[in-house]
Amino acid sequence: MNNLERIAAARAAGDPGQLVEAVPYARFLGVTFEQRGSEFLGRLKYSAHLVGNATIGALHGGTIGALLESTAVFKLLWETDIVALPKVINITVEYLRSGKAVDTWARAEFTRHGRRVANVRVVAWQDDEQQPIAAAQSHFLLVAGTGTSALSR
Amino acid sequence: MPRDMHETSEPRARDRAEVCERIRVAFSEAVPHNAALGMKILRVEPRRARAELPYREDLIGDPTTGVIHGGAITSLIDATCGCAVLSSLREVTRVATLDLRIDYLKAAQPGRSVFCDAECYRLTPHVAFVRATAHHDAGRHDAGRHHAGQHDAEHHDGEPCDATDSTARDSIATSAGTFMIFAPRGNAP
Repeated sequence: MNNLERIAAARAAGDPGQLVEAVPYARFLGVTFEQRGSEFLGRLKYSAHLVGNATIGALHGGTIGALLESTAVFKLLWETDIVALPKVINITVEYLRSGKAVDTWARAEFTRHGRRVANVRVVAWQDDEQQPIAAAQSHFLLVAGTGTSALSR
Repeated sequence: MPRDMHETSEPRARDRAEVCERIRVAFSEAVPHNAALGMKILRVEPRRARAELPYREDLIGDPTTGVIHGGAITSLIDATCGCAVLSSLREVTRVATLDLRIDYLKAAQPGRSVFCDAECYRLTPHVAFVRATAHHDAGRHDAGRHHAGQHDAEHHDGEPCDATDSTARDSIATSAGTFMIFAPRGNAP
């Protein structure tokens, strides 16, 4: 199954979890996605291999950045009609609080969704959504078809 | 990401090289996620650090191309920048990433290690500013100095004029980060 078929199958089944199964890094981290009512949420399941500071048991900043980036990517795949993985042009991650040894959630919003470029804002939290632990702002290049892009990747 | 080195009780005038080596070993071995990624901190010197992320199939973000996920590169850059900040401090204390911007200049190549060079270019009492570059070149000498590349206009990829400096062309990503520096233990008011 190629990416395109996988996306179509996951949409048909209404199960964003199927998207994750195709991405080895998402499985390595323990990132999953779920639809809760009208909301698309990313979830980073806590695991000891995500820790960046063993002394205080805090999550590695890179794992939080990965959750934020993945949530933006999969929301784009899930809710728009693009047919290939969006390519990250840039991402700025703001670390607001240290991540504790519990699950982390993330929600993305499209600040601007054009034909070629999307700007996405993502927020991550743990116990209390009003106390976010990190946020990201990111641009993605949206590619029609597969394999080619303006950035010659 | 907060980090805590627990070394502030030792005398100030320790050998810099020894401190750098401690930071290098701590980040390679005592940070669970760095170890889980297979990350190696290759070199730490005052204000600078270099790390390597060897290619691994479980780090793939795009199964069609085999390119590793941006999240793994975020972890690599965050860790290397953290080392550069800690090695620039007179007393080793705890630092935390405030923000990290990463510009992806081109995709990493499947099967190859990604290296990161980071440099702390401005240190104030409470905040450190860091820049970093991610690339595939094990022999690169310009730690963190991605702004110093030679601008050239040679023809490239069919473009009439390539507005890319030669260092940036070979880079996967450039990054700018800011870190907060906590007061060393014992010196806090």
